[in-house]
Amino acid sequence: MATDAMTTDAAALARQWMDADAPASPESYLQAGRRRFLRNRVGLAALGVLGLLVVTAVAAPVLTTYDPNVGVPADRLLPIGADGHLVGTDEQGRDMLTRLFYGGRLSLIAGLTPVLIATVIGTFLGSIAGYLGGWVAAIVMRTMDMFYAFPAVLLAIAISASLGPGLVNVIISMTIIYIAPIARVAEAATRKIVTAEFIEAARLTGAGTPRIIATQVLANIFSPIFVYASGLVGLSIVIAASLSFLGLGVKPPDAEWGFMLNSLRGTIYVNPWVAALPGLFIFATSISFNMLADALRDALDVKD
Amino acid sequence: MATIIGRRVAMAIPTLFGVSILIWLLLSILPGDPLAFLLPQDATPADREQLSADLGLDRPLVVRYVSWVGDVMTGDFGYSPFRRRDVSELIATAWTNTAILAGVSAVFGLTIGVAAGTLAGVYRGSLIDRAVTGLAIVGLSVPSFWIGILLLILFSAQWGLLPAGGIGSLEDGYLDYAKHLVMPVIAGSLITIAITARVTRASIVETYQLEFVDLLRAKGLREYQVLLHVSKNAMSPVLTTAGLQIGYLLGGSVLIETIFSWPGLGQLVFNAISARDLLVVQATTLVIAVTFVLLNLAVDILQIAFDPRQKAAG
Amino acid sequence: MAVTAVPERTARQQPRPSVGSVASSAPAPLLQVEGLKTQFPTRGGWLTAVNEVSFELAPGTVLGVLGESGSGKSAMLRTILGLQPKSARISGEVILEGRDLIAMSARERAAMRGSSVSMVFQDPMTALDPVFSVEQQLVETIRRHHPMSGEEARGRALELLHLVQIPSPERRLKAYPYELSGGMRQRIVIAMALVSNPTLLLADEPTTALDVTVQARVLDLFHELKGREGMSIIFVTHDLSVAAEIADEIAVMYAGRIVEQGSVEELVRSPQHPYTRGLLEANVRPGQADRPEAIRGAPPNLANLPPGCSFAPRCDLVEDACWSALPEPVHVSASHFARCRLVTASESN
Repeated sequence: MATDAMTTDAAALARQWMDADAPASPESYLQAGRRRFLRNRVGLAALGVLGLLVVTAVAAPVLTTYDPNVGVPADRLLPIGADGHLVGTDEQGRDMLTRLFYGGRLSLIAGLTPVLIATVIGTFLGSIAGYLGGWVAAIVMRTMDMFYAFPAVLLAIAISASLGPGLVNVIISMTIIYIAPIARVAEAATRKIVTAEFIEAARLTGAGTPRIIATQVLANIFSPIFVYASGLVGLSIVIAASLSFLGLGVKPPDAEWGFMLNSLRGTIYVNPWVAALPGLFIFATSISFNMLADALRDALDVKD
Repeated sequence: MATIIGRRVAMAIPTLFGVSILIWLLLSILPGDPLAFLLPQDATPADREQLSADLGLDRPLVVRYVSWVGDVMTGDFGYSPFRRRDVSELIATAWTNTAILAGVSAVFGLTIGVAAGTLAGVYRGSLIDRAVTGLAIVGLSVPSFWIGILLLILFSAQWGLLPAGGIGSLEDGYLDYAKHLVMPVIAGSLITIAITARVTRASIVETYQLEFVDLLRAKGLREYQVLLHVSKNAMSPVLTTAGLQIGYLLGGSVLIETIFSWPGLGQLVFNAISARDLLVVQATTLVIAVTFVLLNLAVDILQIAFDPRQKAAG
Repeated sequence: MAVTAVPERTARQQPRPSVGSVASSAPAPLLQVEGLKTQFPTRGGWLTAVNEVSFELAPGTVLGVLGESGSGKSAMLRTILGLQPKSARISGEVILEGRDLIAMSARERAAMRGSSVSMVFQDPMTALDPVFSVEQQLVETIRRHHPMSGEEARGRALELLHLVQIPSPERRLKAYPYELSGGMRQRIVIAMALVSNPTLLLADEPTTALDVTVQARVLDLFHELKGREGMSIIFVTHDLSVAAEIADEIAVMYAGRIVEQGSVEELVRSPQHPYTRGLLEANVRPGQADRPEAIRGAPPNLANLPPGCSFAPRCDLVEDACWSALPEPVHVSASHFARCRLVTASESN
């Protein structure tokens, strides 16, 4: 019964089974994340929509020949599908598509910038509080807690109102409201790793606190902060548009989606669907960022 | 249990002071000239100093803060030269109107959110779960003021079914009053529905994975009995969110009330911003923030009542 | 081999009733498990947690199921009760008192649970609902199976607490789980399992999570329950000495399969499977019970089982043939078998 052929077979089976468990070459955390992201069709579609919105905003002067700020009074309030104006004109006879393209510039800037700045400041405050603990953490984090006593939108409105209208002031006020939540995430993430061996090892090599935070801590709290901040962008786009809608953002005649929505509000009895278009763009941008954030969270495997 | 509630209440007091300091600082020391709009174009520097002294703006910051808090605690929010009324009077009417709108929106939004989230959590992975999860992300992303405008286009401009704005009067009957509420409530509570549904679903799903659920089933309990146990255990994060939601509704009221001309705190703030009537902005923000802190305190106390483990911690 | 290392306790075990599984003269079995297979979907394919398990259990007997963590012993208990996750794939038969638990509707099965068959879980800290009182949790169980007034059910709940030897039961009834010790909680879980005098009690490592002194007392409680008329117990454990103390018969599970089964004496005196021998060796060294040191390597990946004997990669006595074909059960006596191709050979030596 025992033959050479059988022995070889068995050995091959054994080897085959033993090998099957170990992947050929272990992929890194980020490689695995990218592979998972590229498999997520919803995330890719969201990325595609955002890419399109960015391109139309940046390349607006190439894509259209109309002036975004000067209209033809005779062509006021043309409906969707009018001759020469694909999606109609606004109350001053300006081409809507042109203004939607140009409007994307300020809307995207106003939504993204506060998240970026707040991420830098919040990460700084949170990682220092989390690393040092003690009274530093107490002061920083209790101050941050104060911001939780406000509905965020209201606080942004109040700060913006006291600073006066203007895009920069909108960005400042929104930055202020995002710092606290990001600092919380950064502090929690830092506290989790501060006792880890590699931090201990860095300390033993004589590295000072700023150096350890810059090299060891930041690298290890990046994922949760990145995922949290990317989840904020969708909301931020809506809040920025809200502030503009209330007249706190851009000044006329600049195009910005939230502000356009407000100025077209009076025309809904005359030219309803054109009036709704800027909102559609805000919504498309916001939902794309939210879906992208969900996809990133799944890909990087961060628990809420 | 009484002691732990007492402790929570005591903990809210420094928060309230912090809130008042923050608001006061924001609107007192930030750039922007509070006098610019109060003075006539041709005002002289002497006029300016006179007005500054009249308003007490020449005193040191700390003194100004203390006197402001003192006034506020006695219900004196100052006088609005723009509206020619006491600020407290303006706020009292507006607060009631906002409380009605936010209250109805909260009940509507939380009920639908909890129901949808529970369904999705119980039937995890099913078609209904995917529908709820998908719609929740839509609700989370959609600007409330845009939904408000879409509703106005459809129900007011196109079909003429609902009044375009304003608050109904009870003298015209409950139906008329309710008709005025429909659109603001729907537009305002979409985000509440979305967030509540997400949180409820996540909490239900997580609770179903706990081991005691296996024991409930091993005891032979019917699925609806298991769901009762799961719901009570899953309630804590939902309650916490509910408190925060009411805050979003209060904050979002600025947009909704502006679109639907609802005479509440939101509209009051909006008009005050346009007129740069900072005293009203300050007072309204403070009232909303205090309402928010107190509501979250109420939620905290409710949590204690529902969770026997927290009762003991006191 | 260190087969001489028989745990001391077995020596003073009382004579057992004859074990029903293989003996021909046995009465009709209470429970008959036939070809039971439980699989879970994973990224790496179907994970086979319980693999073609078959055994019988006579009324009033205790079957100890012995195995490492991940050997499929808990998954088997849950499958018997129908508590596997929805995504799981089940095949085979579980016939309790003539009715197939796998084939019956979810509704019928729910009605059987807690009445004919009930279960005691491993960790009493997580098994009870933290936001309901002991009374609420006991009373709902009683009234589910025996329609009666709340007051009557409360009386019955008190009786049950007496039965599981909880001191001052009136006070404990009002308590919430977090107010009770681990041992106390486990007694309450046991009380819930006894609500309808089940004919079959499934115990999933009921003493593992408890302090050593408490373990002994809960084990004593199981000894007393064992004497109750008609109740059979499947007692899952990774601790051979516990199994030897409580059980009439022991089944050793490895990678989802029963690799050896026999009466306690047979299994402890003359273990046949190299894995069982390893477990016995490990057991003489304290603190090594969960991951027997005497057996090298780790349990196999259940989503990718070797084509032959699952134990081959860790076996010191492995031969080429072990890799290619699954060994059939080899009986060394009417009530004792092992799934190892070396068994007859090692007996004849």
